[in-house]
Amino acid sequence: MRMSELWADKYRPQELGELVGQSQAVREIFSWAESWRKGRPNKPALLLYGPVGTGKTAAAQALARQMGWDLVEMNASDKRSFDVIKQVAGTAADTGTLFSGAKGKRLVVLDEVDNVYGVADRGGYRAIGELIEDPRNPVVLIANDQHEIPWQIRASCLMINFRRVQQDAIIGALQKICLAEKIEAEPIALKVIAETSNGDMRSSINDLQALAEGKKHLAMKDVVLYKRDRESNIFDVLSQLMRATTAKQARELLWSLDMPPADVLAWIDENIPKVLADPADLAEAYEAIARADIFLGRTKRRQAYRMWRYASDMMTAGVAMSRKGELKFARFQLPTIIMKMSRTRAARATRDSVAKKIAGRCHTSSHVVRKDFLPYFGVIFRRDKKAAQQIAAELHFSEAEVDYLAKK
Amino acid sequence: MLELNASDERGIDTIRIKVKDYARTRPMGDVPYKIVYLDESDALTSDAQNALRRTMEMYTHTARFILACNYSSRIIEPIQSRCSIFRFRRLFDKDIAAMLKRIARTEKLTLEEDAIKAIIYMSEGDMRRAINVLQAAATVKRKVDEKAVYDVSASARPEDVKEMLEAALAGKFEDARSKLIGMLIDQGLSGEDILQQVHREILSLEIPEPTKVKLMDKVGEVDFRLTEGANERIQLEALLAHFSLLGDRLRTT
Repeated sequence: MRMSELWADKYRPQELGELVGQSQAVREIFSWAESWRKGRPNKPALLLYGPVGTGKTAAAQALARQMGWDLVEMNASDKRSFDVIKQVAGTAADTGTLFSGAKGKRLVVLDEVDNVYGVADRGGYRAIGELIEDPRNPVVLIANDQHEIPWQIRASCLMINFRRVQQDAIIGALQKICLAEKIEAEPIALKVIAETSNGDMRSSINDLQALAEGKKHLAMKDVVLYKRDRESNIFDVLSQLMRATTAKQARELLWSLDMPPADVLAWIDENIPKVLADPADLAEAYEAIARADIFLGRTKRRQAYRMWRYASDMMTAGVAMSRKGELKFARFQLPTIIMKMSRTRAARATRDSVAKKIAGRCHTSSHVVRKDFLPYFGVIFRRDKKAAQQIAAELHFSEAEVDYLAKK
Repeated sequence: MLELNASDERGIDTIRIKVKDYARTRPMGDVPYKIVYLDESDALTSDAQNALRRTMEMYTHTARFILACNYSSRIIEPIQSRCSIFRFRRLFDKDIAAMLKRIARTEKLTLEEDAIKAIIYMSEGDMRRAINVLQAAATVKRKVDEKAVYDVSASARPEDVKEMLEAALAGKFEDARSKLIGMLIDQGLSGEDILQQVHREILSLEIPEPTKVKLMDKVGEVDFRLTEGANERIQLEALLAHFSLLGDRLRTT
């Protein structure tokens, strides 16, 4: 028996025009590619960015095929240190092709550029920066999150946004596949698949294949889909938790939640003060949260996973049974600590690299620098531009590091 | 088939080299695909998961990937997008009962209803544990009853545990203690196993809900001390004394 291909591959767009729901992006890509025919466009590199499953990689591949360019691709499954990128992509970008000689072009595609890693891929961004500065061949960078990419790189790229695919467009594409596979599908079934995918074309095709492959007919009742979920039902759990009347009820809420205990605790910690009106209730609830935290610490430190159970007890039953007084109405929200940590990630990284440079020079630890030195450096960088310049040159501070100190 | 679980080295380099090399070479013999099975894949760092995502779709003509995990929320979105998702739920009691009966039929065992209940109680939704207990009990006797099940398992009868706790709550500390010693010494159960059952029984005791929480917290504390190497008899006695104290307070208020 011949096993089937993945439909997501089989129906991958062969031409840019076949891309579903990205007409704006497709137009921009085309006109950029056309200007390569005439010489070199202002911005020799493209940055395609947007959510998963919207056709970014497929677009790059279709582009190469349509323009008759050879394709050289590097992604996160390749090691991407400075040397490797220079060697693979640099050669590709600077020289002609094997088959078409010096006149032919190569499309260099660097996929997943928001995932170039600090240690494993040392110097990766520097290499990408140098590569796109003055290439002889067109370059396409692809990413989910454009903010993870250094701004110097973003600045020299033409940015093209891929949006989540509209539901109707997904339904249309699924219908075409059903037709080709000779499957009769109930419209409502396709609609549910499209809805569940949340604008992710690829996952909707995967779901369709899992549900309908080998069938002649796809009915609504066959559609059992599991969301590629995020924190959708934590909100329900939180609100039921505050209304639970028995310890048993409260404990069992966690069973339906797809989230590790430490994450659940962060959510409870964030939202408890919003709903408990009585200070006595709040104090008691926090005592329970604190106990849960102790048990989590023990789980981790001793690798004693039995302790997880008690952490769950305290964060659910413990918190629920603390309440004697009224509940305030509140909208639950994402733990601010998580948002803060990700928002300040860049700033913390800069702070650490500044501290490390100073520490090396002053023969002390980064920790001491952060505590005792940085405030003075801040004053100098704000008040005394001349001294600041000297220090920056001496310690090889980057622009971002100088900015960080000046704003401190 | 290439199987990697959390105990194997699974850093970004393993994904980039070992998994990729395995996935991109043709399968030998007459098989259509190789299978890469990543157990406990939510334990992969997000860097490693990112290194995996293109490999998963670039070599679909030679390999298929199966990822297993506890928490799908720990799998990065790009990988979820490339997968069909199947969620395995906690098993219902009736599912386990049906399986046990099926095995009893094929193995020609006599399996009593009480025994099924007992196995379900101690397996806590874990099918593998349920089958192991059944097999152990069946090697002793072809006729499997409740007693046979408790004899081969590391569990006390739930009624025994409940009686011990109720004695303690009623202020009869020494009665409770002699029941405890019976389980520890005569039945040879471990302190950990008894604690786990105490933890379960608390929820069905007839005491106020906030008291249950206090007791569960106390059980957790004692359990922790056991992992630190404390004496299980003394720690469990101390726990029973705590039950007595709370029982006393409940009566006086």
